Amino acid sequence: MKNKMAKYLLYILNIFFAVIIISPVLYCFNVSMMTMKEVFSGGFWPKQLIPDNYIKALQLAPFFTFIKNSLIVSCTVTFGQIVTGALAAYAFSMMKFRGRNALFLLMLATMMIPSQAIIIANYLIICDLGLKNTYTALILPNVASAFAVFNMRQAFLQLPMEIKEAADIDGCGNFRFFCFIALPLVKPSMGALGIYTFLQSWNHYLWPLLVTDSVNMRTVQIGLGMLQGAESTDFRPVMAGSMIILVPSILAFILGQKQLISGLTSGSVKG
Amino acid sequence: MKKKQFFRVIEPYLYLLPAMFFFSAFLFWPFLKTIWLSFAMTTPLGAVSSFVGLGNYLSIFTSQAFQNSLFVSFKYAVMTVTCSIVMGFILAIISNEDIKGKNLFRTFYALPMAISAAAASVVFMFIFHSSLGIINKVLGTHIGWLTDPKYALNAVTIVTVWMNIGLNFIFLTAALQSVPLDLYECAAIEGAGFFAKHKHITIPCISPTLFFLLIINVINALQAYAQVKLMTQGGPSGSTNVIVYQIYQEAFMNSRFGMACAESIVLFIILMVLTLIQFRLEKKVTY
Amino acid sequence: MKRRKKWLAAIMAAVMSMTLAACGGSATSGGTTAAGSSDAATTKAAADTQAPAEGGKTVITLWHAMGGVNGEATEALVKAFNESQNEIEVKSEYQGKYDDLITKLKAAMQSGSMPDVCQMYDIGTKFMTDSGHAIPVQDMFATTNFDPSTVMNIITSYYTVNGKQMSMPFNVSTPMLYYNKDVFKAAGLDPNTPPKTFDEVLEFSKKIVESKAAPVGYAQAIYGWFFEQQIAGQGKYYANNENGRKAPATEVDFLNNGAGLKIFETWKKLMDSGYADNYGSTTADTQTAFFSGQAAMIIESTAILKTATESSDFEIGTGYLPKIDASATDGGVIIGGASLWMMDNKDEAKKNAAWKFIEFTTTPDSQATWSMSTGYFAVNPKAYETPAMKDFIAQNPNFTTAINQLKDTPVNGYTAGVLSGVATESRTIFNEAMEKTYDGTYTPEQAVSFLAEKVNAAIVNYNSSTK
Repeated sequence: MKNKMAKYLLYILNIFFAVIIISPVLYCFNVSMMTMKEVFSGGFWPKQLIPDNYIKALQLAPFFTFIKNSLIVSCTVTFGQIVTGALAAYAFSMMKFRGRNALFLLMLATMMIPSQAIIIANYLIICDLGLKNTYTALILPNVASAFAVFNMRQAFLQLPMEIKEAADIDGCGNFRFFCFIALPLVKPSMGALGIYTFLQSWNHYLWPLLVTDSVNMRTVQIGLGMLQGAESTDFRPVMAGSMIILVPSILAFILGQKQLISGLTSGSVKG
Repeated sequence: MKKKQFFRVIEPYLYLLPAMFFFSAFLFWPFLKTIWLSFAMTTPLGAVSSFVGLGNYLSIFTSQAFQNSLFVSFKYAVMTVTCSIVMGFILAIISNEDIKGKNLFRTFYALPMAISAAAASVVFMFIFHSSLGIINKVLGTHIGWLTDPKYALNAVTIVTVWMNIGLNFIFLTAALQSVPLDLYECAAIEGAGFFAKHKHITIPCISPTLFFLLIINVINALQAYAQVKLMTQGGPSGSTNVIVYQIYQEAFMNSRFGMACAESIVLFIILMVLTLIQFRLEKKVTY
Repeated sequence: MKRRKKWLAAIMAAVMSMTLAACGGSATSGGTTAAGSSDAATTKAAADTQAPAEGGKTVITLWHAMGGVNGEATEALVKAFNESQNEIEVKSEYQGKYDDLITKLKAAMQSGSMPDVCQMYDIGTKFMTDSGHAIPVQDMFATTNFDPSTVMNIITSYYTVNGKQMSMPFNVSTPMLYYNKDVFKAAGLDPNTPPKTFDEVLEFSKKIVESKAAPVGYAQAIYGWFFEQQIAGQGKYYANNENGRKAPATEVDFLNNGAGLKIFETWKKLMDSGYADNYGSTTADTQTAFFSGQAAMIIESTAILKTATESSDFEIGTGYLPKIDASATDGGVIIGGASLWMMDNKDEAKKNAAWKFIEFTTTPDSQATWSMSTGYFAVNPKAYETPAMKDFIAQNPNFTTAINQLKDTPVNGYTAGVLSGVATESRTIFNEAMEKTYDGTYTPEQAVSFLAEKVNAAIVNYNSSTK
C-alpha cells in the first residue's frame, strides 16, 4: 500500500515538473502556429494548425543547409571533445606523473577565461591560417574543452580503484585498459557529455558568425538571426525556425540517452 | 628495458598532448594577448593606442559600476547555482525510479537546453510581461518583473535555472547509473527510507559528479550574460548588470577592449580562487 | 613548507607551457598581433582581393544586418542591381544584427578582409569616419555626375561630417507617436487628433485611464534614441562643437542648455501620474503592450508601422513625436537607421563598382520598392511620385504622417543629431539614469548631472584613445 502511494506520488511529481519545464517549449510551438493578431491577444493555444510560418522561415533562411552544417560541426566537435577529454582525463585520474595537479589546474583555468576576451584573437588566428569560411574554422577551437576533461576525470574517479589494480597485476597495458575496460564503464558520463557538448555547439552564434561569410557555410543559430528584423520582429517565423532546429537536437538527446542509461548494471563492477 | 622505463615516464603526457595542443593554440595564446592588452588603452578598432600600466585595473577598482556588477554576479551565482543543482538532483532522482514513461520525462527535462536563446527570450518576454504576462495573471499581481530593480535579478535567475536544469539533470542522471544497485538492496533490507537511502548512499556515491557540477555551475553563473543581454540589458538601475555583461559591453559596445581585458583578468582570478577553495573543500569531504 | 614548493612548481609549469604556447602561436600568426596596424591590414587586404569572376565581372561584397522582411528586400534590391547590368556582381552577405555586424567589421579591419560595401547603423558613423578604412561617398559623386540633391537634405545631414557626406543613407526611420483609435473613441477623445505635446499626452492618458478605456495611457521604452530626439525637438544640441560636427565633441551640451533636465522632469512627471507605464529598455516589450491593447499610446520607430498594423486588432492612428517644449520652432526629429559605407580595399575597379551599386540604391524605383516592402523612408523624394508609391501611400495614410513629419523638420545642426564615438555607451548610461529617476533613486537634476558626467568621461576617454 505504501509502495503504491509512493509510486503515485512519483508520477504526480514527474508530471508536475514536466509540465512546468515543457510549457515554455510548448508555447514556442504554439506561437509558431498563430496568426499575427493571435500572438498579442494573450492566448496560449493557437486557433489552428497552419504551416505558414514554417514556410516563411524556410523562405527567409535555408535551414536545411544550416542544419547540415551544424550537424557536421556539432558531431565533429562532440567526437573531438570526448576523445581529447577522455584521454587527458584518463591520465589525470589513473596515472601518477610529475606536475599532474599543476597541469590539471592549468587546464581548468581555461574554463575561467571569458570567451569575449579571446574571441577576436582567435578570429585573427583563423584568418592567418587561411581557414576563414571553412568547417575547420568552425570546429578547430572547440575540439578540446576543459569541461570535457574535468567531466571525464570525475567519471573515472568514480570507478573503484580495485579494477585498475587488478588490471596492473594482469599486465594489462594502459591503452588497452583505457579502451576496453575504462571507457565502457563510463559510458553514461560519455553519453551525458555527448549530449551537452552537441547542444552547446549547436547553440553557438558569435563564433560561426565571425568565421563564416557565405550563406552555405552558416549554422542554425545564424539562421534564426536572419529571421529577426531591426526595429520590430515577427516572432512567429523565429519560433517556427526554433522548432525546425529543435528536431535534430531531440534526436541527439535520444541517441545520447541510450548511452546515458546503458552504464553499469549491478555486478559488472565486481567482474 | 630502459626504453620501457622512458615510455613509462612520458606515457601520461602523451594522453594529455591532444587536449593541450588545442588549449595552447586557442586558449592559452589568446589569453596571453588578453593579459598584454589589459595594460593598454585601445583604439575603437582594438589596436593598442598607448600603454597605461595598471591604469585599467585602477579604474576598475574605483569604478562603482564594476563593484556593483561583482555584487550582482555573486548574488546571482548563489541563487542560480543552488536552485539549478537542487532542481537537477530532484529531477534526476524522480525520473530514475522504476516508472513508466521515464524516457519521455527525461527528454522533457533536457529539452530547455536545446531551445535557442532567441526563442527563449521571446517566450520569457511574454511570461514576465507586466501587463500581459502569465505570471502576473496567475499571481494576480502587477509586478514589473523585468523593470523593477527588486525583481529583475530574480526573473533572470528563473530563466537561467530553467536553461540550466538540463545540464545538471543529465550529468546527475549519468552519475546515478553508476551507483551499485546492491548498495540499495542492502539499504532496503536494513529498512532505510527514501530519504535515508539517498542521503547515505546516493549522495556519497555521486559526490564526484556533484563536486564537478558545483564548480561548473559557479563558473557558468559568473560567466552568464546572454540572458541579461536579451532580457534586461543590465538594467533596471544596474540591478542585473553581471560581470560578463559588463565585459561584453566594454569590449563590443564601448570599444574599450583594454578595459574589457583587465576586467576579464579580474574575473579569471576570482574564478580561480573560488575553484581552488572548492578543491580544498573537496579534499575534506570523504566519499 | 612542502605545500609552498608544490605551488611554486605549479606556477612554473603554468608559465612554461604558456611561453611554449606563445612561441607556437606566433609562428603561425605572422603580421598580426592582437590588433595589426592599419598598414599591415591594408597590405593584406590587397593580397586578399578576390579574383574577378568569370566573364570579367567585378565581384563586390555587401555586408548587411537586415533580417526578416528587410533582409528579403535587401536581397531583392541586390538582385535587381545584378540584373540591371552585366559588369558588376554584388554578393550580399547577412552578418548578424547591427551590433554583431560592427564587431565583425572591426575584426575584419584588423585582418584585412573587409567587404567592399558595408551597412552601418547611425550611431556607428563616428567610428567609421575615424577608422580610416572608409571612402567618403561624396568623393565618388563626380565620377558618375551624381546629383547630391537626389537624397533629401535632412537625411544626408546626419551622415555629413565636416561638410562631407561620408555614407549613403540606406534604411531611414524616425520616431513617431502611435495610438489606439478605438481606445480614443471609448475615452471620448477625438480619434483623429493625437496629442502634440507631452502636456497633452498626460491629459489624454488621464482621460483614457479614468474612463477605463485602457489600463495604461502612454508608454515608451527606456531608449537613448528618444532622449536624443527630444533634445533636437527643443532645438538644442546634445554635445558641444555643434553636436560634434564642426570639431570632435569634447563634452555634452544638454546639461548646460537645460534641454536634458526638461526631458527628465517631463517623463518623470508622466510616470508618477500613474497614467503611464514603463515596460523597460527592450522596445519589443513596449510594442507588445501596445499591440495587445494594454497601452493606448506609444513612441516607436516609423519603420514598425507595417508590423503594428498587422499585429493589432484595433485601428491605429499616428501623430508627430510629441514635443516637450511647444514653443521650440527650429527643432524636429533626427533620422535613425543605417547607411551604406564604401570600404577602402585599395582596388580601383571595386571602388567604382561599389559606388555604382550605392548609386543604384538611390534611384526612385529602387527606393519606392525598398520603402514599400520595408516601411523605411524612401530617401529619394522622387520615389514618392512613382505610381506604385502613390497607391501605397493612399492605402496607408499613416505613412503620410511619417513623411510629413520628416518634411516639416528644419535642416540644421540640431536635427542633424549628435556625432559621437561613444553613442552606444551614452545610451546605456542614459538607461541607468532614466531607470534611477523612475524608481526614485535620483531626482531629475541628479539624473542629468549623472548622465552628463558619465558621458563626458566616456568622450574624454574616446578622444584620448583615437589621438
